[in-house]
Amino acid sequence: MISVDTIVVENLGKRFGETQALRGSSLTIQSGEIFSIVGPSGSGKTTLLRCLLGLETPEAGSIFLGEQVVFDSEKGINVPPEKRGVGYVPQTWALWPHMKVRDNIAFGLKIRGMERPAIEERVERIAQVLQIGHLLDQWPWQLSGGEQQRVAIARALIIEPRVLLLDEPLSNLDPRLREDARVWMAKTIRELGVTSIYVTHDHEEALSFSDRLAVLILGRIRRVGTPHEVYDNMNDPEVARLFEFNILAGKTVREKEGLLVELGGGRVKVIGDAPPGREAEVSFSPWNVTLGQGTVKGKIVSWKFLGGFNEYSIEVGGTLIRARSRERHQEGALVDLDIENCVVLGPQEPEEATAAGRGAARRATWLKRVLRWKPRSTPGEPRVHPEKGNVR
Amino acid sequence: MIFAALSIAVLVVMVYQSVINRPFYEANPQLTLVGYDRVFADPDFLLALVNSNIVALLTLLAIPIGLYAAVVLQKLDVPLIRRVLEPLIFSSMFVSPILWGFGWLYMYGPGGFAPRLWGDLYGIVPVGIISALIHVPYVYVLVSTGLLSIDSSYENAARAQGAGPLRTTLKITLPLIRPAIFFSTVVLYILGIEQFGIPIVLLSPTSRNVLTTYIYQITTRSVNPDLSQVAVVASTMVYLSITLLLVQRYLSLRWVRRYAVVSGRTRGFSQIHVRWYVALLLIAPIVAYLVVTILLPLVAIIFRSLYGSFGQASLEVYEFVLQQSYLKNAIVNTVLVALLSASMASAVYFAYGFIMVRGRSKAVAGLIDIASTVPRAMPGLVAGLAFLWLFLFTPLRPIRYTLVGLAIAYVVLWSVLGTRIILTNLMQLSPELEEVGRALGASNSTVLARITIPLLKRAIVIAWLIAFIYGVRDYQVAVFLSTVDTQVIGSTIVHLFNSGDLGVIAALSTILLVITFAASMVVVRLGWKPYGTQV
Ligand SMILES: Nc1ncnc2c1ncn2[C@@H]1O[C@H](COP(=O)(O)OP(=O)(O)O)[C@@H](O)[C@H]1O
Ligand SMILES: [Mg+2]
Repeated sequence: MISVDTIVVENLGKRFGETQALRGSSLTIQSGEIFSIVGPSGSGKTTLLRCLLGLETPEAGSIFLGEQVVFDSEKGINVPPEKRGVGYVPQTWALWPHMKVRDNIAFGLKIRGMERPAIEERVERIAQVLQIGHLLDQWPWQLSGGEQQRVAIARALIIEPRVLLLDEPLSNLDPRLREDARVWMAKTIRELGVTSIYVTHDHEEALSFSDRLAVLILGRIRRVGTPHEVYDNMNDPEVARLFEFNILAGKTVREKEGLLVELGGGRVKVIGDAPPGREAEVSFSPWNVTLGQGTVKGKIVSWKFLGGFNEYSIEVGGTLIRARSRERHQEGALVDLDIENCVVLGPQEPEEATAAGRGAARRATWLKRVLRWKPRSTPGEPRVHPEKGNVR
Repeated sequence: MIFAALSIAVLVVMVYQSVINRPFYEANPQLTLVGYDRVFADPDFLLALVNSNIVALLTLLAIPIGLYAAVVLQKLDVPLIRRVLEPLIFSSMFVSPILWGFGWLYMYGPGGFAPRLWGDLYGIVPVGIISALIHVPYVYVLVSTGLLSIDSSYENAARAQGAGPLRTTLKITLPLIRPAIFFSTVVLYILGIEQFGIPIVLLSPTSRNVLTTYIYQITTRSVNPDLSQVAVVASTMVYLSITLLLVQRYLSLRWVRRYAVVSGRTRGFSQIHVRWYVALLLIAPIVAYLVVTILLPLVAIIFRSLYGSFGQASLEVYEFVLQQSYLKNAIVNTVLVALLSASMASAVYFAYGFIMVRGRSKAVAGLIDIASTVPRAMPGLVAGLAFLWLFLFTPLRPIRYTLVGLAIAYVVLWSVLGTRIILTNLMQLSPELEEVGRALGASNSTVLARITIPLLKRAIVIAWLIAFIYGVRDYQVAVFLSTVDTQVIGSTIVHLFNSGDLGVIAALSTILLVITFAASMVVVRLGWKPYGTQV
């Protein structure tokens, strides 16, 4: 029942008054993929979804759904939402309170003028798949949160959308239900094979849910990749902070076994490239710190018991880091540490840093334009272009 | 849009006419303030101006009474009594003001059912006092709105420090609702100035005038009234109301910040539990007030229609009313025009609300906001005149001779309340409900028809009913705007009053009363509470 389409978003820019919600975001999403967009609150995730839906009109960029251009700022193309065939599950689910569950789900077919028996059959079928068959004759307010969510998904799927957009679908659920709902949703969506874009602010959700994910920070895509690619190579400081990685600074040294960094009196092997003999920042996961061995010296400042493991707050060379371990260590104890999978952070993009930095960057661009009379460009930005082969 | 334009046009026409030297439809008018000089030199006008202000000041007496009623009924833990009394208070707001005039006359006036309270009731001071008594419900509503939005933690904090319920109410609660009390003052003053129903009844045997009766007199006295004079008087009233409305707006904007708790979100509402006899003692005056000033005058109207001054109960008057074709027509016209204007109104107010909440352009939204509130500054009588001129002397002339003209005037004039109702309900509706529909393939108009409107059904029905009531009860606009064929009950009563057939008036009033009360009961039953709405 699912059509096969690649979604391409190019250079999308959207501004609300003073706020630049999207700054030239680009993405390619393969058909059948479950793609997560993760970012802190206010980073522009909802705005990006609304642009895909056609509910917001961006100022710049273009959007392809399969071979159809649904938005292009230069050519002035903007297909209205009802012609895009995109399934949408908003953050609040937005079930219509004046319709029973059955009519909520059937709405998309009714307005297409489908025959009644055919509608009934399709509704029954999707209800069966989503395990809400027994709820069809209830009113939305009679349902639990998890049931409402399923109905909202059924309503979005019944029109056989080219892509399903889910905006933080778990955030309105009781925390106890969240885990179950996540597992169920991942399984169901995967079985149906529908291309899905899943928006969340929770990095664990994104990691466990998706085939690939993109990290959106301050309206810009900072990272795209599979969960492993992103997690194992945390080379962007903003992304590292979002994923709650530790960040430490130290001097780099080139030895025969590769690049090392000096941390807390010891040396740790690092992944990535940096000029030797300079200060560099590295990031690593709290899980990749081994206590009781290694050359790095630290002092345990505090710890808390979190069930299966302990989380330690450790001072290393004047900076606090977090480490997770099953072993027990005393508060105030000096420990040896070994750090695995330590990644050198790339340079911070100046434009992102502060408002002042943004202003400076804007002035610099302006100066460049005045002096060289060149069109404005944003260098050094990760850009994913549509692969021609995928656009049919 | 047409309605929005009309609502601004009527105001403009009136003010424009007041500053030119000849009727506005004639060629080559010149701007001049001569009209103002002449009117302000007229002792009759000045006297009317003073009288109007006396009435308005006396109307403010409603504030202590309404305040008392609101504090007692809202703060005491007496849900049952509140549920019985509130519908009565709310629906009395819908009674046509002219009925109050007759009701009081029949009850407490010369030859009335009750012993005389106050001489013969004719005069400025009785008008002011009656005006105060019948406007108590407005204060009740405004103060209740304030009370209901107070965060209970403020009062609880005082109670925790050892202040008793009375002290807490006096020292914490009342100061917190100061804005509401101030708004009541402004609203009552405007309502006092606009009074026409009570003065026309209780002042006509005397030679005194307030501004409204003065306008009525100079317009009806001669076949060819001096437009400029009329316009100056009318505009003066409009300036008064607009000034007050602007003051209210300005202060409400300032106070919203200072008294953030008063207009902010509520976190529960604390009520005081007292012994039953204390509650009874506190509530008794309110019940007495309702019976004496609201219930009895209305009952008197009904009795008067059945009994005449003396003698047997009979339905004679009603038979007479139904035999006279002009009276029968008035009744039919009233219902027709109310139905028509209510239907137009609910569509127009919905459009207003929709444009203001969902519209893309801030400027258009602002314009609609003005268009829906500005007519509030025109007393009904003045608005009737302005519409008359607009219809007579512009291409709109043909509709002047139909009920449609009257209905349009109603829609334009009373847009504030209906639009507010739609607006607040629409603002509570998450846009996502509509956006999901768009994503599922519904066009804008399909979403409107199958999602937005069904979801707002209750608000639209309430707006429809309120517009219907306003249409039924009107007597001011129709006085000038109706032709011989388009008389309604209200205007017929005013005209009949000059010939003095009190029995027929009582019968017509009873019919009005029954229709408005029935409709307002439905409104209240639908769960509508006037709290938070602009009166
Ligand atoms: N309709 C709007 N008007 C003004 N600002 C908006 C609007 N929608 C979003 N924004 C702003 O754009 C930024 C991104 O918002 P959003 O896309 O909702 O973030 P997220 O979904 O990632 O939390 C925020 O700074 C937000 O305040
Ligand atoms: Mg969001």
